[in-house]
Amino acid sequence: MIDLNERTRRISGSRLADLFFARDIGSVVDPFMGMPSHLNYLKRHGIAVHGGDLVDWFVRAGEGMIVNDFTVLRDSEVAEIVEMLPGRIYPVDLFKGWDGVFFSEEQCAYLGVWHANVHNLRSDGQTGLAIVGLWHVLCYWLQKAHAPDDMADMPASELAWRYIRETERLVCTNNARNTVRRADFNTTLAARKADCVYFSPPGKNAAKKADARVWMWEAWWQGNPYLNLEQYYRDTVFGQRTSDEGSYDRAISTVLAAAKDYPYVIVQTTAADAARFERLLAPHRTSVETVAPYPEEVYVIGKC
Amino acid sequence: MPLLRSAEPVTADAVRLLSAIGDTLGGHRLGFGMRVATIAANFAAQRGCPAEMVAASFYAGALHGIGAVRTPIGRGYSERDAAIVNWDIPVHGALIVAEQRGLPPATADYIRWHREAFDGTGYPDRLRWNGIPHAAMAINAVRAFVEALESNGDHASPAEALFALVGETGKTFSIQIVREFRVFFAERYETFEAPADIAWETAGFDGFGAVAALCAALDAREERVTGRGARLAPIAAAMASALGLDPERAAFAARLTALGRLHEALPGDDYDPLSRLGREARAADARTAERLLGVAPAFAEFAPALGAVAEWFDGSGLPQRRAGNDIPPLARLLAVALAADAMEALAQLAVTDTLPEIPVRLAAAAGTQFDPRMVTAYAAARGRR
Repeated sequence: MIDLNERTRRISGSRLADLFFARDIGSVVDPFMGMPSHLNYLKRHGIAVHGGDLVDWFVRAGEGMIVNDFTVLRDSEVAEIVEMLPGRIYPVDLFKGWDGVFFSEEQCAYLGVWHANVHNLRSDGQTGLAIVGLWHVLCYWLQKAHAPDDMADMPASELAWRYIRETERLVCTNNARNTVRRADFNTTLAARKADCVYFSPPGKNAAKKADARVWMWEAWWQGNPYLNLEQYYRDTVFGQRTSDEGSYDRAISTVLAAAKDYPYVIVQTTAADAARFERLLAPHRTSVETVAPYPEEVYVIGKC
Repeated sequence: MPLLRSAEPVTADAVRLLSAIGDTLGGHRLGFGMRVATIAANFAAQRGCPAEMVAASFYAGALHGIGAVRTPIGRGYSERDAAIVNWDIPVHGALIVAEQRGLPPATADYIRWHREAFDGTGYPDRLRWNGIPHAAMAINAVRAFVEALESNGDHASPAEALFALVGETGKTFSIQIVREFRVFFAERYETFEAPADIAWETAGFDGFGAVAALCAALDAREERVTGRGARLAPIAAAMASALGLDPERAAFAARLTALGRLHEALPGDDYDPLSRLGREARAADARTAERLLGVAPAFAEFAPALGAVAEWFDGSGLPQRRAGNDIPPLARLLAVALAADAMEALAQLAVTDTLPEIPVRLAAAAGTQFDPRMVTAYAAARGRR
């Protein structure tokens, strides 16, 4: 059984929308977007959104939730994802390495089938939606492994159907161009112009401490159950060099310097780290304010 | 907004009334929100939460549906569009509550996130796992339980309602919250709805102001009546002064007219206000307002007047066909003011009358639809403005 994080960062699109509307911010770039639910909320409320991340499945999810304005998965298409299609050869052993460790044999076989079916989808938007839907299945399975008697047994295909159909609600348009890219923050920030840069900074050694549900899904998407997320960050400023305080501060300062042309920078942090980010933001901005609805949800806002 | 009777426990009644508005807009029985509030507060107390969190759970439970007052009236929404519009109800509710001074600070965010789901498929933010405040998820669990309990009407089975909750473990609700609720259910079901230990008199909460603000938001749901309560209040006050009635009560009653407008479609306003067509719809709106005001004793004195604004002076109105002085004076006063306002709105849309024709038509309806004294007072009040 794998450990699941007890604490989850609260990234709230509606809270960000409140902050944005109060400051007439109409477009935003998030260079560390992660699962882009918050950008989807902002998009739904008319804000042009751009995101970037190094983890590929986050970017694919963004293709479905952020870039995609119209495409949904119809019932027939969902059916082609959740079950084996006759006449197709499937790599059902692809995730055998997880068999008996994290998942049952049947679950591993399904992961192989879904991997092949999702990779065969023709539209980026549909692929993104399917990835998001199936990720919820993975999370459900891992959670159920922790509390098998508390959660209902549901057939894999039924669970997958439920969660993929649910993603239809994410599809919306804001009559603006929205983008996502698989790139580091420098590339993302240089590629777009917007009213605001928002980010929730990666923690120290973030790749090592990544939630199992995040790295396992990247491993699934890449078809490599032994994939290690640290390799994505190795050559970035948030790689192993940020294990001490000074290096971490320098890494954050690099991001803030790259965001110098944006009128606003909003950094989401916690009460414990707010003073650090206020200090780091001050040299790059003429005014810095802090909005702190909760100790674990603090926004440090810098304005040019 | 000055208190009309300063000694009354207005907080409790204002919360009851606001909760009832949320119930009606959410398609629930009256009292649904207050039931959720009481059980949520008892559940929080059972979990050992501090008093402020218990109070916040109570207020959030009571007002969880209030955000619907800011949802635009949509005719012909598809099922998907309606669902997406509903996603914003918790956020609207949070913003409304945050504007009210005196309520526990956490109340707004409990409302904001009370429809999030543990697996990340809830709304508005699709928060997941422990990113959702535990208390917000507890309120959602209570809400779902009460909803399941009331869905079967008088044949409700608490065990079945609990089963509906348990079936969502790991999906809508965390394992921990369901375990806690099961313990609560097992140990405290008989006293689930015992009055919660809440300090009603919150410093700075303006109950009448909160209700007036909500009524303004209800008016703002449709362009034609946006600002109607605020427009009518000074007119009603001036009319009341001329007639020897209490101007403050009249002004507040004018704001409360919005309470009838909770239906998705508003046929009462689609008709000429001086015609008999549309009487049923106008009477239905009046009954809705009367029913809502009846839940809150501090506001109940307005219920008879708001419930009779569709009566006609000659006894041919609805819903009770009351006539002459049998109709409360405030109702007769509001009937004229409401009709005039509707005629002005229609005139601006060039649907029926022009503005100069309105006093002439009102005068013509004096003695049949309207009390002649009220028509005279209205003309004087408008002249004075």
